Amino acid sequence: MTRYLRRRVFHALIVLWAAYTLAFAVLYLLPGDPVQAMLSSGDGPSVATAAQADELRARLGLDRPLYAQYLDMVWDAVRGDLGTSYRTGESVLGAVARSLGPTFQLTACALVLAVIAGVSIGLLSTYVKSRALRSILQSIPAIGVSVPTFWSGLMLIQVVSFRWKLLPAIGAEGASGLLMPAVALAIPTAATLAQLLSQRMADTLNETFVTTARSKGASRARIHLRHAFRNASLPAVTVLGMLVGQLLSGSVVVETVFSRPGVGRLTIQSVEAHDLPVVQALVILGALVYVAANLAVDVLYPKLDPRVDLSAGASTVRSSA
Amino acid sequence: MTPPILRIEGLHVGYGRHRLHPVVIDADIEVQPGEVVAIVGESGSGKTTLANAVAGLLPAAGAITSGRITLDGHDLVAASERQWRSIRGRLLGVVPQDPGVSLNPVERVGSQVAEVLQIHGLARGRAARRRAVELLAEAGLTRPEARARQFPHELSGGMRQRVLIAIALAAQPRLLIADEPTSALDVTVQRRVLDHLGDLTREFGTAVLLITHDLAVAADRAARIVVMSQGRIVETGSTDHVLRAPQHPYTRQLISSAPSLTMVRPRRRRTDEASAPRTPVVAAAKLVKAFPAIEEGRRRMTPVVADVTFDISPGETFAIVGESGSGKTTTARMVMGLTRPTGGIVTVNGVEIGELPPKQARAARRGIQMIYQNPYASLDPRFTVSDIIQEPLRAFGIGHRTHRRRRVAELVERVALPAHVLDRRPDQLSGGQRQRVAIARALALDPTIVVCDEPTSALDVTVQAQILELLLDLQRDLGTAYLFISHDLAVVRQVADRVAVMHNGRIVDQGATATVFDNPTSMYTRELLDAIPGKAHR
Repeated sequence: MTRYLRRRVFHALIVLWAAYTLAFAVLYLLPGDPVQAMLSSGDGPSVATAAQADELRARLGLDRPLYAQYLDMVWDAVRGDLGTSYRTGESVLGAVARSLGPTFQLTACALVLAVIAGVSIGLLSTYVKSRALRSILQSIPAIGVSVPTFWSGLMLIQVVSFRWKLLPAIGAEGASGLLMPAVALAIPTAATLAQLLSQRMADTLNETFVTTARSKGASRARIHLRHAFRNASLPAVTVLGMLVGQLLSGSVVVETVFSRPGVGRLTIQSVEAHDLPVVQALVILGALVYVAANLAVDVLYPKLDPRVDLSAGASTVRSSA
Repeated sequence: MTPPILRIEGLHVGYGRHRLHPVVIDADIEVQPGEVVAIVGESGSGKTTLANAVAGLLPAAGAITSGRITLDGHDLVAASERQWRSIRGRLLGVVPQDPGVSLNPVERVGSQVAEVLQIHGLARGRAARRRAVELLAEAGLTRPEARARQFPHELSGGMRQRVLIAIALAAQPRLLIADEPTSALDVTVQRRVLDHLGDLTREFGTAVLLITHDLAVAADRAARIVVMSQGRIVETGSTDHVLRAPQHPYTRQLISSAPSLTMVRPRRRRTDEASAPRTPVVAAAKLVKAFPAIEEGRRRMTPVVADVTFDISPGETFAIVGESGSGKTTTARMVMGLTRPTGGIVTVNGVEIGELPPKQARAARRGIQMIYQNPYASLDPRFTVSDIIQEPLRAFGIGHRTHRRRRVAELVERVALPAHVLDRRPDQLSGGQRQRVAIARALALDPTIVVCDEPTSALDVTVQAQILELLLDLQRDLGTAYLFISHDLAVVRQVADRVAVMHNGRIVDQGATATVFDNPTSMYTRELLDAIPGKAHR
C-alpha cells in the first residue's frame, strides 16, 4: 500500500510538472505582450513610452532568454515561491489563497447537491413502478447535461430573484448567496451522475445475484439499496474524481454570472490581463485538485469493491491454466 | 397419506408480448414432504421455467397463463408481492445454477447468509452472524468463521455453491428448488456438494425439486423423476421405474444417450495398428509450462503442466481427462503450438511447430486442426456456413473456386448436414449443427490430427451422442487421430483408445482406456471414477 502511494505521488508530481511546463509554453509562446497589456490601462492605446516599457520588462525579467525564465520559475516554484502578480503586485500565493475560500465553499456545496440529486434520480428511475414517471426520471439527466451553466444560472436569477424575490441575485453573503450558484454549478454534475447510475442500476438489477436476493425474500427497497446500489455506484465513484475537475472549471462561468469572488473570477481577470504568474499558479492548482481527487478515489475504491487490491499492483497479471 | 407439500396442477407458462409462446404446457407435479423429485430435460424443455414459476422468479417476459401452484397450503399463483416476501426464503429456498455470479460480489458471505435470518425476523445482529457461521459449517465449509468474513471472489466455485446452499437452507424451508446446482462444478466437487445437500435436506425433512439435464444425477439423487420435453411432461414415475421400464420414446432416447448410464464397453485399439507401430503424429516429451505468479509476496514460476509425456499414433483417439486447473487445456495449447513450453519438446508430424520460423510454422499447422468447446463462439456470425468451411482452404490457397466449392459440399455431406445449410449463418443453426460445421472446417485441410477441446460439453445429451458418433465415423473413414480434451470420464470411456488422467499438472494415470478404467493405479483416478453419477443404475 505504501509502495503504491509512493508511486502514485511520484506520478502526481510528474503530472504537475507537465501541466506547469505546458502552461508556460502556451502562455509565453502565445502572441500578445504582457507588458503592453499591463501598461494599457483599460481599452485605450498604451500611454507609456518605450523606455518605460523596457524598464518594466527588465524588472519582470521578461527580457531574458525563455529557457532562463523557465528554469528560474521552476526553481522558484519548487521552493514554494510562485512570484508576484503583474496586475496587482501582490504575491501570487496570497491572491490564489484568498480566492480559494469562496470557490471551495461553492464547489463543495455543489458537489454535495450533485451527489444528493444524482443518487436520488438514479435510484428513483429504477425504483418507481409507474412507467411514465420512470421515463420522465430517465430523461431529466439528458436535459441537465445539455443545458449550459450560464443559461441555467441566468434563468435562476431571473425566476428566483427577480420574479419570486426569494434570494439575492448576486453577492456572496452567507448561505442565501451561495445556494443559487451552487445549484447552477451542480446541475451538469448531478445529471452525469444520475445518467450513469440509472443505467448501471438497470443493468445490475438484471444480474443473477439480485435473483438470489429476491429468492431470500428481500423487499424491493432492500434489493435496490443493499444489493444493487452498492454495485451500481462503483463506476459513478470512478468518475467522481473527474467530476470534481468539471466543477472547478464550471466555477469560472458561475462566478462570473453571479459576480462572486473566487478562483474562477481570478482566472478570467488574470487571463485578460496577461497576468502570467497568476495563470501559471491557477493551472497548477487545477492540476493539483484533479490529481488529488483521482488519487483519493483510487485509494477509497478498494474499500467499496473488495475485488480490487492495490497492493497487488496492476503490473502483475495472473495467468490461468 | 400426508398432503403433498407442493402441488402443481394444469400449469401453463407463456412468454412474449401476449404470452402466446407456450414454454410450459399443462404440467402436473406433486412433491411429498421430504421427497426428492427430479425434473429432467434438455435445454428448451421448459424445466427451468417451471422451476422459476414455482419460485415466483419468472422474468418480466413470462407469466403463468393458467393452472394452480400450491405450496404448503399457500396459493402461489394468486400470491401478492407482500405474501411472496414471506414465502421466498422462509418456505421455499432456491439453490441457483451458477455459483460464480449468484452472490453479491461486494458483500462478505457471512452477512449474505445472515441476511435471510434478518429478513424473516429469525435472528438479528450478533446472533444472526453467529447462526450464519453455523450454517456455513453445516453446509460443509471448513473454517467457517474465517470463510464468513471472506468475499465471494476469494472462494472456489464449490465453496460458493456451499454458501448458496447455506443461504437456501438458512430459514429451514419446506421446499428447496435446486436448478442445475452443480453443473458448473467439477465432477468430484459435484459429488461432494450433492452428497452434502442430500444429507442436509434429509435431516431437516426438506422436500427437493431438483432440476437437471443429467439423467444420471437425477437417478442418483431423486426418488421420483419427471421427464420434460418441449414444455410438456412426457413421463413421471419412480426413479427405478423410469430407468428400467421407460414408457415414452423420448425417455428411452435420453437413457440411451447418457454416456454414464449406458454400459458401453471401452474401446479397444484395433489390433492391426497396435501390432505395426508407426511414427506418432504427436509426441510430447517431458513438457513443462510454468507461469509467473505471486506467492507469499514473491514472484516465482508456478508450474501448470509438469513433466507430461505421451504420444499419439495415427488414427487413434488419445484423451486427456482432468478437472479444471489440471493443466489439460494448457497441454493442448502447447500441442497446437499456441503456447510455448517452458521445458520439454512437443512434435507434430515430426516437427516442432513452436520452434519453426513463422512461415514454416503456418505450413506445419495444416496438419493439426482444432474443434472448440463452444460452437456458439467459435463460428463467425457474419460468415455463411460455406464461407466458414472454405476459410482454411482459402487461407492456404488451396484449389480454385469451383474446386473449393466442391470440397465444401463434400465436407458438409460428410458431417451429415443438409446441403441447404451452406447459405445459412451460424445463428440460424442449432448447437449440434454448429458443431458439425466446426468439424467440417477442421477437416477441410485433411489434418492428421484434430484437437477436440470439450467438443460436446456445451451440447444436450442426445446431440452429444450424435456428435460423438460422427467423430468416430469420420475417424474410421479418414484415419484422423484425435487428441480429446475432456472433464467427462463417461464420454472419454466411450470414444478414447488410450487415456491420460491429469491432476495438478501431472499425468497420474496413462494407458489403454479399459485398463485405466478397470484397474486405476492412482487414488485420484479412483476418486474421479467413483464420482461419475448414475453408478447404481448401470
